[in-house]
Amino acid sequence: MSDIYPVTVPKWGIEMQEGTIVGWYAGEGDTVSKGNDLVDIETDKIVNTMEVPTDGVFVRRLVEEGDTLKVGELLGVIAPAGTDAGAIDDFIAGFKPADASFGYEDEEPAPAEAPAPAPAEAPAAPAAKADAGGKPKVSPAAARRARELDVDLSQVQGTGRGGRISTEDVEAWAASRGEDAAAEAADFETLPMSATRKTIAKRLVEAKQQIPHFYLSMDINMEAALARRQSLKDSGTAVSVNDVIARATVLALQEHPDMNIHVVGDDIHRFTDINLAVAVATDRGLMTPVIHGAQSLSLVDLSQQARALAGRARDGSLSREEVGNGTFTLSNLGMYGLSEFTAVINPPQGAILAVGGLDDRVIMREEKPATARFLRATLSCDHRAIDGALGAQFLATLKSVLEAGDGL
Amino acid sequence: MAELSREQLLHAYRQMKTIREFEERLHLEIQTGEIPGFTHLYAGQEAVAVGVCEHLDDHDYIVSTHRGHGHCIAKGCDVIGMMKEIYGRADGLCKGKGGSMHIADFDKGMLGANAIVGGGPPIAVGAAIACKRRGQGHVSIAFGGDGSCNQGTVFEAMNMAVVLQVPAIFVFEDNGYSEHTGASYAVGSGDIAGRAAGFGMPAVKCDGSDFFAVYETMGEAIARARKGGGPSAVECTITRFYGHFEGDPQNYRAKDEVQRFRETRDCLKNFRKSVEQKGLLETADLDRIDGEVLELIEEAVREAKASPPPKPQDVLTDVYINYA
Amino acid sequence: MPVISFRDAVNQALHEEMARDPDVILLGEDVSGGAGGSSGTRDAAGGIFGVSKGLITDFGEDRVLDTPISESAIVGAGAGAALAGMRPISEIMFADFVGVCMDQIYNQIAKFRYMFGGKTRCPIVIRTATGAGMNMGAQHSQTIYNLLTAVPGLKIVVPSNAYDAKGLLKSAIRDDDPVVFFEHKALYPRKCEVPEEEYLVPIGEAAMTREGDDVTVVAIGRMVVFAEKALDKVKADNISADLIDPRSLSPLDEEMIFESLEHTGRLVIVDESPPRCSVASDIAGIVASKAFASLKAPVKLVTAPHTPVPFARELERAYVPGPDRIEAAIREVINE
Repeated sequence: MSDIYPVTVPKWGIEMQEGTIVGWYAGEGDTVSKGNDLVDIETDKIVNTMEVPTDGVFVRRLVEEGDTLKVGELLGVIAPAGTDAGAIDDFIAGFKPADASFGYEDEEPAPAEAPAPAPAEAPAAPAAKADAGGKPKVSPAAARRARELDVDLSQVQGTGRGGRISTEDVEAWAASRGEDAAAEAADFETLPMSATRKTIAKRLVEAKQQIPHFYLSMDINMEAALARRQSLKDSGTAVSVNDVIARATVLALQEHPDMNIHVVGDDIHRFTDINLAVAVATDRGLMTPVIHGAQSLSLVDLSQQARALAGRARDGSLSREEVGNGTFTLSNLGMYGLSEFTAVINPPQGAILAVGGLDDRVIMREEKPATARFLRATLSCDHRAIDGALGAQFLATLKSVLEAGDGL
Repeated sequence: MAELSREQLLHAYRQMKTIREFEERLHLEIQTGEIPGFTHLYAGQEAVAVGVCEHLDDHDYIVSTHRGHGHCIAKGCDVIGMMKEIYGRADGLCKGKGGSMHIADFDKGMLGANAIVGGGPPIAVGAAIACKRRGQGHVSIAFGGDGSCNQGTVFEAMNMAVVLQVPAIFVFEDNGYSEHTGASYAVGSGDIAGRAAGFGMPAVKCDGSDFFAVYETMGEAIARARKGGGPSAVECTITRFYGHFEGDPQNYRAKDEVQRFRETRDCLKNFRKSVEQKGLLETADLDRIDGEVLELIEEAVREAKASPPPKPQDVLTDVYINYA
Repeated sequence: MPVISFRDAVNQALHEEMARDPDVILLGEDVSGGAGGSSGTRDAAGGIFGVSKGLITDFGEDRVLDTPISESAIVGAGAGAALAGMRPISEIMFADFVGVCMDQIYNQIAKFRYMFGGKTRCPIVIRTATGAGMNMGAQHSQTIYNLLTAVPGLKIVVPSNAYDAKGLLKSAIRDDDPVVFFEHKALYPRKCEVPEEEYLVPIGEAAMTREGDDVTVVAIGRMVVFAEKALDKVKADNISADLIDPRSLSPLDEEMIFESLEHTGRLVIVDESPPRCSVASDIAGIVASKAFASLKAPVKLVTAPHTPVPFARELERAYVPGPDRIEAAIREVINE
């Protein structure tokens, strides 16, 4: 830092733009001490006394009584005794006053870099009108409805003025889309969907449209798991094969918490609790009651809850809490003899596990052929949040848990 | 005198000295015209800010006033970031969007300097509600002056704090003047602590120029609040060495008043005398701190002057988190 | 699907969000009621309009805070709690009382994020009862939302029905920006279908409740109900309209209004406020500067007069824009 100190017109108060010298207390060449009075300056409001800002010699006094200067301009210079005069001259020549103005009285045009701020709003006029041969005329509400129903607007006939498509037009088209397909068959009976089925249908459409599904399969040797089940049965506790698979699923989710998630917009919600939804077929459709906090349940407790929930699902007495907040779903169609199937993810969950039935296979055991019961598990994953490696690791853990058997 | 370790004493001195030198330097730099807008300097009142904040950690909250640099530094805010903000630079604590009167650092529990007199205490009560709910013994401090003690919002805040029994402490710094009018004129009852007591909370007075008095008085109030004992008020009598704002000619003050206060009621001088006489700290230690603080302030000003200003398009940012 | 009132829809939204997130708290005058009363009953009121009934029973008195009559402290404390990481709902009993705590709203809450360089958030919801039609007099009947729509940093929401009220309040509570939520007191008993399953209505998206060819009607809050009555009447003369309920005044879904005007070319705006600096005049100004080419006729504003809200029934009826005035405006704009 240079020891040459510029004495400038001070900014007293936010409005002050300039000041007039009224009287000096120090002359050029005087030794001055910090804090003593230096000069009286008048602004349009007040006369105030400026104090000496630093110790030294007041080597230059550049303005006199009656002079008016802008805030920031040089009044004089203080320097340590013996400072070279040439250095002081250079300092004065090179001095630039600070800009204390508000900027509006400048005559220069605004600097080139300042862009016109673009407010974050919708564009002024909407895009091409339909009569230009572009996209069809459609009301904003109809456009929204079309997105909801996955309707291609170019196929819809508009009944409004000028051929404008209304919400009614979109809904009518969507309805007839279903009817056209059915019109091929000769005799049919119309079965309107129940509220439950409509809800199921809507959610499945959403899931399939919006979630990028990918699928991974794993064949699992179930002998050890079945042995565990048998030993429980022998000691008087009956658990189903599905219960065993459910327990293994929970253990695998504990190892891979990134599978125990919801995908919500741009966020992934990773849960500490494992709320396992277990699919149950009822005559009203597929229900998925949820076992909350499954990580704290033993195989036996898990089995009890699963059985109770399935019962309530079948007689339609599940409460709202019992079907809500699932973090992962297990679906088992093995009882129908299926070897494998792929399931649709239940949004906002990140994945669903589909297992087929037990299947006798020939394997090599200690260099001799033997048979073992296998099942095929197919994992559907939401590729936005789950990568192939993670899904594969989950399945590998599931397999090792079931094939170990005793940890269940 | 409250029991303070050698480290605590050194830290307290360093904090007060940092505030003092920060403000003194600003007083000079503002006169060059490079710093835009209003600035209100805290020099002279350091013992209050530090006497309070030495009891607090980052999870305790403070809400400050327009004269907020002292509270900010005492709460642990980054001095260089503060200087840059006062200079209106893009990398200031508030990205140049707030300036001197709106300095804040939420990581340090500093919920902002507030330019509206009396605007802060209701906010401090809200932070105290959060502290109470969390149940971890944290507190919320509402700083105010002899001016704010006449504002309706402060009465509401005090009453609300008592009704909801929250850990809020109202610290009134009576520096004798609210803007250009003396407290002896504007505070009708002449007794700020008495008003707080009238709302149903313990309220005491102390000498704001004595760090140890402030520290001890605050210690009691804060301990009570941390244990769930509800709000209190502390009225500290103090003086400010500079005007209400920089550029204030202080025609309302006798010419020698500030000179007298700098001699007799300078909290830094008083602290030094106390600790040196009692042999708690060595002069050399204190002198070393003086030197380090001056270097820090010099660095802060240098960096602030060299920092880039915000770009014009930044005017549009951070109004909302998202705005469809 | 259940059919419930606007009041119950708001109550449900409060219950659901408080159950979902322990950081949601409610502060206000008589939000439960009965504190310090000789009957010893809490939840004596559940809010002056019954909107917050049952909340203190379910969530306790450290989440449902009855306050003294101290709007600055109610809103200011909400602001501070929000800065400290909670999600408070501060209730101002009548929107007219906003004057008492205006500083906390427009100088503090609205500006925190900006002044502090984006380094904090203030996720407060201010709920308030707005509007005339119940003879409550000049100081308990104003709309007020125009004053706050003008303030950068606030989001302003004015639902017109129970479905939107529930979905928008849930969105407002989950929104990390400050939201002022206006509940028209004359709409509280009005019922409509509200699904049991969880749903949200996004802030910033308008709703088009009718579609037509001849005119675009933009109506705010309770005026949507009257606009629908007016449109029912003119249907007989083959006049049809796009009816737009903005639902949010800030951010405003300008795009829907522009798209609709492209088709109809005529605009009627219905707002229960006096005309100067109203949201109606604001929308008219936006349309004039950005969508002038779509207009085939001058914009018609149907507003209250430039007066305070009068008390007597006949006078209040003359103040609040009713279906007749809306119908007249529609016919006029079509004939221009």
